[in-house]
Amino acid sequence: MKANRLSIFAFLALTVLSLASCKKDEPTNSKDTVLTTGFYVLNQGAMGTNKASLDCFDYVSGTYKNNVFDPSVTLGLGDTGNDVKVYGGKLYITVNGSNLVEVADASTAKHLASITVNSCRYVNFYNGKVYVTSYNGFNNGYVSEIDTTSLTVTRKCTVGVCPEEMAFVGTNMYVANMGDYDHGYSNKLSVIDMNTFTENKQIDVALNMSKVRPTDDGKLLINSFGNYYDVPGRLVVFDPVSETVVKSFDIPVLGMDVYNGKCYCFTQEYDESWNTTYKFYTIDLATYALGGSPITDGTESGMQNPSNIAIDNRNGNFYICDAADYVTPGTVTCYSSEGKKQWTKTAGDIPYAIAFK
Amino acid sequence: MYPKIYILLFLFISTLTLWSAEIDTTKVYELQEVCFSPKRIRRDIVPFQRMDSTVIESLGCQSVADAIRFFSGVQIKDYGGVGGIKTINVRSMGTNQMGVFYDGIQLGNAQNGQVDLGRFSLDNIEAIDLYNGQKADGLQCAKDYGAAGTIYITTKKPSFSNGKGYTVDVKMKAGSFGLANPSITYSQKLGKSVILTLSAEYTYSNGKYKFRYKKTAPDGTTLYDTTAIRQNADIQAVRTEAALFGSVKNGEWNAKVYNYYSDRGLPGYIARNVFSHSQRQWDDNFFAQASYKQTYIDGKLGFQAKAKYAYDYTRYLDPDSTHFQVDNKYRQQEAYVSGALNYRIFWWWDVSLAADFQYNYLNSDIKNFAYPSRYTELVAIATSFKHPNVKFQASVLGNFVQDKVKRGASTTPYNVFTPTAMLTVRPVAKVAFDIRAFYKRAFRMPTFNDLYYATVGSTALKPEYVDQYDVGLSYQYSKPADIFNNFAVQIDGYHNSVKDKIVAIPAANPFRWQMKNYGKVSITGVDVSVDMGLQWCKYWNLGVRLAYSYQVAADQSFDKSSPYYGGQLPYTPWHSGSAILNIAYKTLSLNYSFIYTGERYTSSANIPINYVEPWQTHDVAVSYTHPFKTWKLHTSVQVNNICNQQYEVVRGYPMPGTNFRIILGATF
Repeated sequence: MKANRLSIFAFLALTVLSLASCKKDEPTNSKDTVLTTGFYVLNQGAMGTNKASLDCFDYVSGTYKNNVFDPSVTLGLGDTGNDVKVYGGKLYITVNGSNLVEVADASTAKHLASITVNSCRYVNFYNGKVYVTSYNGFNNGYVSEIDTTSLTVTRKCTVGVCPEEMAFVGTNMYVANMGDYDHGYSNKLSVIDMNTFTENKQIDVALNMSKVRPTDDGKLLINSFGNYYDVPGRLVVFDPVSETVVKSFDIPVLGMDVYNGKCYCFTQEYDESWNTTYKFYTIDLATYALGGSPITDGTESGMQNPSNIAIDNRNGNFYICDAADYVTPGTVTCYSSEGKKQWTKTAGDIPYAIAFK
Repeated sequence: MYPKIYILLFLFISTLTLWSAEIDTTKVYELQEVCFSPKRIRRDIVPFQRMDSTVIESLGCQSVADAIRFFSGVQIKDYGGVGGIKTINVRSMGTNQMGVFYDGIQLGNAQNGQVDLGRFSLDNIEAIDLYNGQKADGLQCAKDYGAAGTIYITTKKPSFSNGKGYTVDVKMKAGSFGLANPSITYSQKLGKSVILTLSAEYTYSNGKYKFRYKKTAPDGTTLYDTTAIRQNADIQAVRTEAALFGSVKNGEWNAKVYNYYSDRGLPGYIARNVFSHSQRQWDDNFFAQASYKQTYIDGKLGFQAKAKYAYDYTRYLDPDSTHFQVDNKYRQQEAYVSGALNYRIFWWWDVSLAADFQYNYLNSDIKNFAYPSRYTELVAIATSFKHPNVKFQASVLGNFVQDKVKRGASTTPYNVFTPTAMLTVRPVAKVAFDIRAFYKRAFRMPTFNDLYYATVGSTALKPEYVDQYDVGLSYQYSKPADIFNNFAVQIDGYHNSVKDKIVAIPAANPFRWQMKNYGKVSITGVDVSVDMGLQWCKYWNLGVRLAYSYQVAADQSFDKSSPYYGGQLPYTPWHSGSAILNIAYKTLSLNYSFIYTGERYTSSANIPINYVEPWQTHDVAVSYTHPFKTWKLHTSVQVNNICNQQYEVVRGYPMPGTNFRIILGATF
């Protein structure tokens, strides 16, 4: 009897030890993609998760493809994607948390180069060069100039604290400076002379600016978040000639895009419980009349947390990124130029930037 | 699939087996007197899981968090290495719903509600107990009735087996990650009824270890294979502790002063082009606490009083000027008093009353700080009935919380009553087979960070609630003289629902997160644990301890139309388990331990991109104790993760591969 029990234990001991076989690595799936005409979507991925990802929608095949970025790249696109744009057959992606500007082929999404640019935020182009804004902590940030052939940083220009988007009017670059919570939000718009690539001046415009978009008549549309306390957010029209704000809308704009003399935008407002409400507007850039939603079928009510809006200037269709709850994948919704919902596709975590090709 | 096989094996073993809690080499070969704290017999209304010093010492564990992994129903969030943060989550109710008690008094953190169990060394620990629901002693603080799940850490009380009035225990641990960890404990009898214990420990680790990131294409080609060394994971820590234990007629008291200082690097996450971080943290945790317990009227009336003062200092530094440089200091203070009475009306009927008061204050040098303080009053009434076949306890805890702030608005005061009912039925009085059930409601206040942290916190946050239902079976068998001398099994099925779960949600601007009562979680699971022991040929001992958990933790925070509604909670495996096997001959012992965590996801969106592979580690330890004159010398060699498994508990935080430790100790 005792011997029996012992043998049971010996058996058990062996069984437990046999669990000790070491585990093998699991293969990972990958797939290629080619985008002929359509757009790319950059998903941010929450900070620290290394989950930035790239999707695309192909107008020819009408298919939405997830995770199309080159699967052979170590650790993927990186941590916290922020901006994507297409220029000269290449995709330029700022990966903020990874301190990289990823350059990929605009047709295959295959990796071409990655350029170290610390805390990079937004990308734009001027005269065959690439410009990228960077935060520099509490210090003045800067704009880096990248050569499209050598794909290296050639020059840097210091601007204000926490520079965001850039826009070009004439031979000037205008950079929105956000500032920071600890030392106070900035109300400075930096003006860089592109002939010398030096900051000419800073102009007081509005507190905590982020997006800067040129209009057809040479003005700049700039959104300001205020200070989240007693200064509310608003949208201003800035005239670079007179260097004054010519119109101010008292709406806290989060996302906007400009097309055919109109601005489509949406606002984000909080109550004390951080419950957010979103409202969509259309602004006539000739009359500055504030109109209702560009969405005409009422489908914006189904959105959770829209993060961006982008208009395809080839056909007037527009796309809205919805970050959903930020921790599960968001969506991209297509609207016709008449504002009717066409489709909704599942994107990655926090879809944010759209680049048309 | 590997996991399924393991699960089947686990179930197979569990059903086959027989079992022992105490893996105790001293039982047969008496070299060391077991200290005077009596081994608790599992006759509580609520059974609990216990790991005592003999088990703890046989494992190759560094901290309390490492040891707790062997309990069933527990997940540890482990960011890796000696200095990495390790927090516990039981039955997926969330770290903030857990109570951690150190020598009978709760460890608090009003700032973020989390206790880092990686900071508590196993050097002077007598036992670690895990209660689901609550402990059901007649005499307990109101706080003991509070948390949804509770860990009790009990430090060693000295024994004086050498016939002298003092005893000294010195230990040196060294090993991988540049670990150097000396400690000393000195105990002295002061008169007939008072004992003084002084203990000090120093821990140093450079935190460096190799890890490997590898990715293979479907066709088998290697896409990348990177080996790197974990950076900025160094730690230096000093623990000092002094305790007095005293006894009076029909009573006992103790008093303790504790200090923990640490200076550590925060290694951070691994991401593309991000292989090192430079953030650092300094902590200084001090507390002084005292307890007094007395019985009157032939033991019919019990009285207990406890008091504590704690001061916690934290400095967080992000020196990188390309980020937002941060250098913030936080100072927390806590004052706590508790009184409890228990009266035995009849031998079968007890009534208890407990009242606690606590004050918390948080000070910081961050901009526009709210300087919050909190007054918490807790009153618990409980009654229990004990019959040889039926035991029942019911309690109600009143939680009254008022906050004050110096800047901005404070949250509204909350007055909340949380009930608990626990029942145990023993069908045959002489057979230790019990059927038990409990219901418990627990509540937690939002922390100071949740409510008042600049631009993140929200004073409109509501408290978070958990309702727990548990039905279980337990059986134990003990025949000390027999070869098969010990067997115990516990099986519990449970259902928890978490309401108004407090969650941080990042907003469109990635630098701004906000706290919301966003979550709703429904958790259903099974915990199984088995212990057994046998002894033969006078000197041989075998002990086995198995734990297995299955849980479905459905995140119902989303809109029901969402494809992610009901997804398994982040980092919550469906299957997890552990095994400890110890074989000893006289005082030479070989210990094998195994931990398995099944597949899981980093998000409630259970999609391939969020998939995290299962992991398992195998640890082996050999230890030998031998007498040398009047000394007792102890040597132990431990090899952890012998298969060199490369794994992550939290994605982006690689864990160490094979690592070893050597421990040399002497008691005299």
